Formats: sequence, structure tokens, C-alpha cells
Amino acid sequence: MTIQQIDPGLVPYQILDVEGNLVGEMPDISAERLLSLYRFMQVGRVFSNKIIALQRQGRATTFGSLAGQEATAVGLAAPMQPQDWLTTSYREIASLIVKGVPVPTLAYSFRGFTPENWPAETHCLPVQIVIGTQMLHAVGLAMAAKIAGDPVVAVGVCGDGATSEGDFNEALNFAGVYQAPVVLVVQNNGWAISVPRHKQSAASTFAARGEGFGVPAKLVDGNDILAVYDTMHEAIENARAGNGPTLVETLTYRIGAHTTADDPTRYRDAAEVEAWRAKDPIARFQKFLTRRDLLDEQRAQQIVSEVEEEINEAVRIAEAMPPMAPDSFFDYAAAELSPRQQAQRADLLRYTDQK
Amino acid sequence: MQMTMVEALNSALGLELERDRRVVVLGEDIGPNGGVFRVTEHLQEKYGEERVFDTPLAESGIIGTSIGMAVYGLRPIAEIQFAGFLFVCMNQLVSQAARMRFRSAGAYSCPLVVRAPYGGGVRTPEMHSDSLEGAFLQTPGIKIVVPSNPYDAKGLLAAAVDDPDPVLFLENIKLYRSFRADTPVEHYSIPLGKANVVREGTDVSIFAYGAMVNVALEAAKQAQQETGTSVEVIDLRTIWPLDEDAITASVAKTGRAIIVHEAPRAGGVGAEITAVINERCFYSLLKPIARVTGYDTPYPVPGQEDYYLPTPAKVMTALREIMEP
Amino acid sequence: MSELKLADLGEGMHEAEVVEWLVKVGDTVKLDQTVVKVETDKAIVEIPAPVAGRVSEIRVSNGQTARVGDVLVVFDAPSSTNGDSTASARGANTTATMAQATTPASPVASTTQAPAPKPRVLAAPAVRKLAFELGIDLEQVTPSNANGRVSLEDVKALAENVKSAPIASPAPVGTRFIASEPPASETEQQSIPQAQDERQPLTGLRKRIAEHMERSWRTIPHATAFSEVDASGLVALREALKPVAEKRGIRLTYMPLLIKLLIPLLKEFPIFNASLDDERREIVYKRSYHIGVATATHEGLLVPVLRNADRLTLLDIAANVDRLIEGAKQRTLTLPEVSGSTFTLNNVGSFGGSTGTPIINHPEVAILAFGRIEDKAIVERGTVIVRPMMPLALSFDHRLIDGASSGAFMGRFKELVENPQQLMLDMI
Repeated sequence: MTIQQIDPGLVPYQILDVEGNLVGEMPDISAERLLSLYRFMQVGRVFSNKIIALQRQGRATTFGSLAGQEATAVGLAAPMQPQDWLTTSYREIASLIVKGVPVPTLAYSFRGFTPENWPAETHCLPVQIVIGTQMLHAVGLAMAAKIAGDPVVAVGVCGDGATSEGDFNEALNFAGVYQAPVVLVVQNNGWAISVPRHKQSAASTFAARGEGFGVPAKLVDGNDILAVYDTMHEAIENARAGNGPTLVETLTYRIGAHTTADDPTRYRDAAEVEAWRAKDPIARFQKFLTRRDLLDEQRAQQIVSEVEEEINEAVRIAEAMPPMAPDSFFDYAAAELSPRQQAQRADLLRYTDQK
Repeated sequence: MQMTMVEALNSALGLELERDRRVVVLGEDIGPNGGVFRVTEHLQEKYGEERVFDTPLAESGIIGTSIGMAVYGLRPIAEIQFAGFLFVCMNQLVSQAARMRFRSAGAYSCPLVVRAPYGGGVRTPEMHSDSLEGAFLQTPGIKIVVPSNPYDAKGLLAAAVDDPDPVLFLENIKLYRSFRADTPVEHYSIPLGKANVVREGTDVSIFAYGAMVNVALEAAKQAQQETGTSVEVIDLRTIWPLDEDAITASVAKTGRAIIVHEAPRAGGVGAEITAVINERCFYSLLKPIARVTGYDTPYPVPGQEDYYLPTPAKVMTALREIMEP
Repeated sequence: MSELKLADLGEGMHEAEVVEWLVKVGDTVKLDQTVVKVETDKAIVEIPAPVAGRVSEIRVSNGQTARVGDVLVVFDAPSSTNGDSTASARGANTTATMAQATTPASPVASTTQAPAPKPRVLAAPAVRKLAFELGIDLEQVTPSNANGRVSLEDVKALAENVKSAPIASPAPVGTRFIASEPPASETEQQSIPQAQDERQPLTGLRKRIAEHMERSWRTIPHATAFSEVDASGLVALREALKPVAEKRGIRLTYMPLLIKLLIPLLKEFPIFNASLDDERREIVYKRSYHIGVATATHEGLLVPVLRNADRLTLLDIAANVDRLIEGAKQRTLTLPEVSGSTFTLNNVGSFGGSTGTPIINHPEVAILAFGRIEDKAIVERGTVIVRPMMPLALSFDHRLIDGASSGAFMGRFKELVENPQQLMLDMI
């Protein structure tokens, strides 16, 4: 753990080491569930790579790769219950997939449209572009659950960059003051576009900042799916039991670029990237599962092929879906359009056959 | 019953908390203290700390968490202690509350009411009297309501809470206690987006809101006495969306329009109404549209604010000018 | 067959240089396999294949620059092109551009002018609207207010004046002049079932005529002097000259004769061959004599112009008039042949009319209409005799010409018509 940590002496919670050896207590997860976690991680990676490929072909909009961060994305969402709420940034697509948002729906959004059938029952807010704002939403959702007396937990996820925003701090503060049933996750991948972790905050870790708000915190190896799953499971159920919020910092690395419009070779070392490829979350988990006889080379390949086919099919479905009608954004501008808005919509329609 | 605006608002909030379990009231100092203007007095006693609670000093935090609560299914009524601090939570209002329905294509919505006191003539320190509503005209997705009297305040607040989209509810500090008016005790609602003709006339239309309605009425009375000018005064009540039909009907009748507001002139409600009149009833105009507003400067210190604000005298000048051939 | 085009890889990119092809023609590629590296302003980017298949053609070589949209490589595969570019970051927003309507050149107008810009009339929107509805030209309204702005009262006042002004002409005839529709009677309207009105937009020549008439009527205060002249001298002259002209291949009508008689008159009364420069408020005395000959065509009134009529012989005039009239009817005339007249003649007799209020051909100051010559009973020295009488109607610009001068002009014209031999006195 280098770039993500100010204090390299602090040891994050780990169950699987880099080689996939069990170095901590195995959490209570069935074999089936373990394989499903593995599959989800592959889905995240393949989907991420696919959207990038589509963008290079002019078929998708700007996208932020989650390559290298699959363990955090999958591990933070997997222990959630269906009634729990999830608010993410734009780099946790795999979390949304785990929570039940269909892949074609996500693929459609990357065509540059808003899916008009977002599954509200998944309790996932749409991807957040404005940095850090979603953390307050997560706290608010949790506060509402508490007021309503529902056994519901909210999980908010942001990156290391977001911790500098006022909203992140206000969210932690509110979470502590109201003892909201919320888990706030900082996915520390070392880089906020080109600004490295040590320029983002002088705090030894982001987990350490929980103390300042009276919120218990955990520091986790973000590339260790079992550690992430275990930590999140405990924090989520703790919140559900009425014991308040937890701040979870996962240490991981952004193998890819910030987005498809970014060139990381301008600001970071190829050697650093390579060093982190060696700690790949999917590779280590695969080694672990192989040692457990739950997986072998052939089976792994099969899973990858199936996943690739699933993703390609999802893209086919998304590309076959009709584009949004040019004026449909008026449908969602208000519950009821004002006369003025209606007139403006009519104006737009005069030009829709002349594009 | 005779109520001040504070009492009317308190009554409205109490009724909402009573009839709808989803309603929660939050803000700084609104619990035991009852709000710095006592608008939320006794509400926490009656309805409990779970539903009426104080927050840390964090505007963005207040609005951001309120958004989460609204999405969950509650009906939060959040107070920002003074409208001048709205910009501290501007991001949550503009990029989040105003966009929740839009961003999710209707999967989620944000039925949030944000209350904030504003308005001058009450000797407050810096930023406590500022009128910022103009900035929100450029934020499609948030309605803006400004009552001018206790009766309207209670009915409009009920409608605001009922609205499925975010509403910014601005309460004029000077009007809080300046007079009492007949206000029903029971629940009633005044529709948003509808202006009110408070004085009928045929020569000039004056459009105003908040404390400026009385300023306009004062000038109208004077003009009637002085020159027999028949002045129509329209209380906009909702300044976004504007009741364009009411504005157009009045100007078509009189051919002369004056807009009065405390907020600075540039890009404000007056500018928008001028544009609407230009688009919809230009050919009725006999004279250029006049605006009587705050100046295009920051809001001045208490010792000077009386010179900054529109007064009946300033409106009279505009009236005399506009009645000249 | 499937094409891979260079897409906009990063928010506003225009082109990229091909750095390295990772495949060659004939290679088989898998879906999403990286096939080429290109360099943009921002970075070196790897581009994956959109299909699985065989590389059949590489269109841009190493080191060459491709623009966004250029085809980089072609694959032999079931077609799966780059798909719709709805996701393109540079989705252009085309807005309809309305074709600008240009103001058409009026064939009946005179010389084109480039007037100096004049300050606009000051008037509120409501005032302008009323003026338009009442047909009042705001420029004709004198503001009663010291502030110089025309008021509603000013417009209404002028409208009243116009309404109560004495009507100079009797019931107008023909379609060339202002027609007033006879009102349908009440009973008629009740018993006749409501027919559907038909609408036809003003286009082409009709539209130009309408605009020109509107302009004339609005700018020039018309007054018309009606008279009739003993045409016996004219008739005799024509009888005498007609066969000789025919031998020379010319058809001699009354028009060329009247033109010949008009010229010395225009020289004697130069104000009738003038124009009022509305912008500069100056009278322009024309030194040329270009006579407009009002002609009825299928599509409407055209006024071809006989240029420099003062330098043509009678036969020349006759030949040209014929040519011009024919050319007008066939619509083959050129612009100089239908513009620039300094005075216009209108033979209303040619379509059986006798008299009416001719509308001046703006920016001229007068127009003379003459009707069909008919035997009429007139009184001469106490005795009723029959004479061939030609009705005359002279409309003139009352800003420049008063009743006295129009009377003098008309009187002199009649004298010449009755005594055409007077022309010989000034013949060279």
C-alpha cells in the first residue's frame, strides 16, 4: 500500500493476501455466493472495458473505468438488503449491477440517454456526477428510515477526492449527530484525476477522520473482496440494529484513466500501475477459489465467456432500444409543466424533423 | 381569527405535521428555540424531536439530507435561517433538488419545501436582508413563492408542502409581525402559480410581491387622490412560475406596467416580467415598462437601507412618469 | 462489410495521427481486439475492432492523419458499423434557418434610390398598432405633444380628417383604380346561404402592383382634375396620318399623338415632370422625358417606359409604343423598359372606360388618363352641336401642384389637342 496512504505503517484489514491466501478469518459466505461474487467482479470489469471500447468507436459517452476496483464495488453492495438505499458516484457501476439494476439499462445510459425505466425498487439513486453530494443524500435517506422506524440502511460511496468537499464533511457530521443508520464508503483509489492522495488531505487516513465526527471507522484492503464484504456486512447490520453510522475506507487503485477523456501517462508512473496490476482483485480471488476447488482455469474462462456474451447482448439490447424522443426531457422537468414550458415544448417540436 | 404572518405560518406548519405523518420540520434553532423568528414555536413540544429537530450549522447539510429524506418518502420542510445563506447550499438546491426528477426520468422526485426569511427595512446585519430570488429564476425545477400577508402565507405554505417538486418559500421579515389579518384556523390551500389582483384599476398595472405589495398599494391610493389615476395592483404570490396570463390580461387592459421588488434590478423578476410583456402584449403598451427596484449594488448597511429600498415615493415617481403622454 | 471510422475520442477532437497498426490486411480479428493506436492532442489511444472478422482494407497508413469520421479500416464481417453517432460528444444542434425573403424589385416603380436614413417616427406600440389598423401613415401624423411622440389622439384625429375630406372623384370605374365594394343588402344576406370565402395570397405582379399602389396612395396627397376635350382636330389629324404611317409599317393610334402633344407641355410646366424627394424634402426637376404608358396585361397593370420621348419622331414614338405594349403583354421587357418614367399616360379608353381617379405612378407628380372618344352634345355659341369628346382626368401631387397650375396645365393641353398644328411652331 503506497500511494493511497500517508502513513504506510497502518495496516488495512485483509482476509486474502495478494496471492489469494487466507490470512484472516473466513466470513460466513456460501460457495455459491462466493462464485456469484467472482462473477459480479468479472461483469464489472468486462462491462467497464466494453463501454470504453464503445466510446472509442463513437457509440458511448464519457465513461470512468473501474478496472482494478472491482472488489470494492462488488463488496460494498453485496451485503446490502433489497430495501437498503445506495448512492454512488460514477465509478461504482458494478455496485448498481449487484443491487439489481439491469445491465442494458446502464448500457443505454451510456448511449447518452436517460433510461426511462430506471428500477426505482432497487433503491439506487442515479449515478452522481457532482462530487460528494451523494453522501448527504445517503445520510438523509438513513435519517428518514430512522424517523419512519424502518429497518433500512443507506450506503453512500465516494472517492478520495470527494473527501475534500464540504458536503462529505457535513455528511459525516450529520451522520454522527443523528446516529443515522448509514455506511459512508470512501473508495480511495489513490488519484483524483491527476491529483494524488497525499495532495488531497494531510490526514493519515480518511478512516482516521471518522474520529473527528464521532463516527467509528474501518480501514480495509479494497482489492480484497472478502475483507470488503465482511467489513460492509458488519457495518450495515450494525446500522440496522440501531448502533449508528460507520465510515469505511477501502484502499484500491485506479488501473485505468480517470475517464475516457483522460491520459494518465501524463502524471503517473507506469511502474506504479504495473505494481498494482500485480495486486489485481480478480486474480487473487480466482487463486483463492481455485485453491478451494471452487474454480479452475477452464471454468474461469467459461465464466468470462458467458459474461462477455451477457455484456455484448446487453449492448445489443441497449442499441436496439429507441433513442429518447427529442422533447422527452420536458416530461421530467416538473410533475406538471407550466403553460410556458408547454409552449416551449411545442416550439422544440417544430424543429425535430430537421435535425 | 386575526393572525400575524408568523402565527399564520406556525398554524400552517402545525396543521401539516398533524395531518401527514411524512412531514418533518428541520433547521437551525427551530426546536426548543422555536426558530429565530418563532415561526416554529412549540412545534417540537407537540410533535416530538423525531419530526421537528435542530440541525448542525450546515446549509448544504440541511438541504442535502432533506433531499435524501424527500426521496425516501418523507415531506421535509427545511428552514435556511436567512435567505442570504441560500448560496451556501446552492449546489444541493440547483444540481440536486431541482434535478432529481429530471435525472431519474421520474423514478425519484423531491417534494421538498425550503423556507427562508428575507427582506429589508428591519436593521439586520450583513446578508440577513438580501433578496436572492433572481438567481433561482435561472434554475428550472424549483418553484418560488413569496406571500405578502398572513392569509396568503398560510394557504401558500400548505400548497407548497403538497407540491411534488421543490419549492423555495420566502418569508418577508418585515411582514412577519407588521400587521394582523383575518386567517382561518382550519387547513386551506391557495394554488401556486396564480397571482392575485389586490386592487383593480384601468390606467396602470403594478406587479409586486412580498412587502412591496403594500408599498404599491400605498402609492396607488396616493395616485388616485392626487390625479385620479386608476391603478391596478397585482400581488404575484408565486414568482416562479409567473402567472403570465394575469400579467398579460392586466397590461392588455391598462397599457402601462410597473414592477416593484426589493431585489437588485439586473436579471431579476422585473426583467423577466418585462420580457414576458414584450412577448405577449407588446402592442398594448403605451409607455415603456418601468421597474422600481433595489439598486445594482450589494445590500447596504442598516444606516442606509431605507434609501436603497423601493418606497411609495419612488413608485409615485414612476406612476407620474408613466401617466405622462 | 464493416467500417471502423475515427470517432471523437475526447470531447472536441478533430483529427488523429495513426501511430501503429497492430493488424494487417488478411488478419482475422476478434470483437473488441485492439487494431490500431492513434495519437490525439491529448494522448495515444487504442481503438478496438467493432466486429469479429477479417481485415480487408486499411485506409489510413502509419504516420498519416485521419479526421473524425474518416474510415480507418474495413472488415469482412456482417455489417455492424459504428452505429448511430447519438453518443457523439459533439452532437451538433442544427437550427432551422429561414430563407431570408428579399424585397423584390418593383417593375412599376421608378428609379431605385438609396435614401439617407431618416429618424423613425416616435410612437408607442399601441399607437403604431392603431395607425396600422386605420391605414394611417404615421409619417403623415403631426405629433401634438411637445415631446415629439405621436399619440393615440393624434392618430384618431387624422383618421377623422381623412374620413370627412370631400371626395374628389365620382364613383370610380374600372379595376385599375380604387374600387369600393357595394355593400350587400341586409335581406340579401339573410336569404343567401353562407358561402365559403376563398382566399388567395398576393403574389408576383399583383403583389408588386398592390405595394406600389399602397405606396403612391399613402405618400402622395392626390387631387384629380376632370375635364373633357374636343377631339375633332385630333381625330382629323389621325385620319390624315394613319394611311401614310401604315405605308411605312407603323400603326398610328392616339397614344403617340398625345405623347407628342404632351412633351411641349411638360417643358412649359416643368413641375409636372418632377418628383418630390421624400427623404430630403427636395423637388427634383427631371431634365429627361420618359413617358410611362400604362398597359393592361393578363397579370395586371404594367407601365412600360418610352425613354427620351422628346427626341423621337411621331412615327418612332408610335413604333416604340406598339413594341412596348406588346412586350409588356408578353412580359419580355427589360428593367430599363419598365422603370424610370417621369410622367405617365393612361389610356383608359382602351378598355372602354371613360374616366376615373388615376393613381399617380410614384415617385412622379402627375398622371393623365384619357378615355374613349365619343360623340357628345356640347354647346357652342348657344347652339347644341355634336362633337367627338375625349374625357380627361389629371391626378396630381397636391403638395407640389395646386389647383391653379393643374388648371393651367389642363387648359394648355386641351388647347394643343384641339389645335395640334401648333406643334409646328416649335418644330426644328
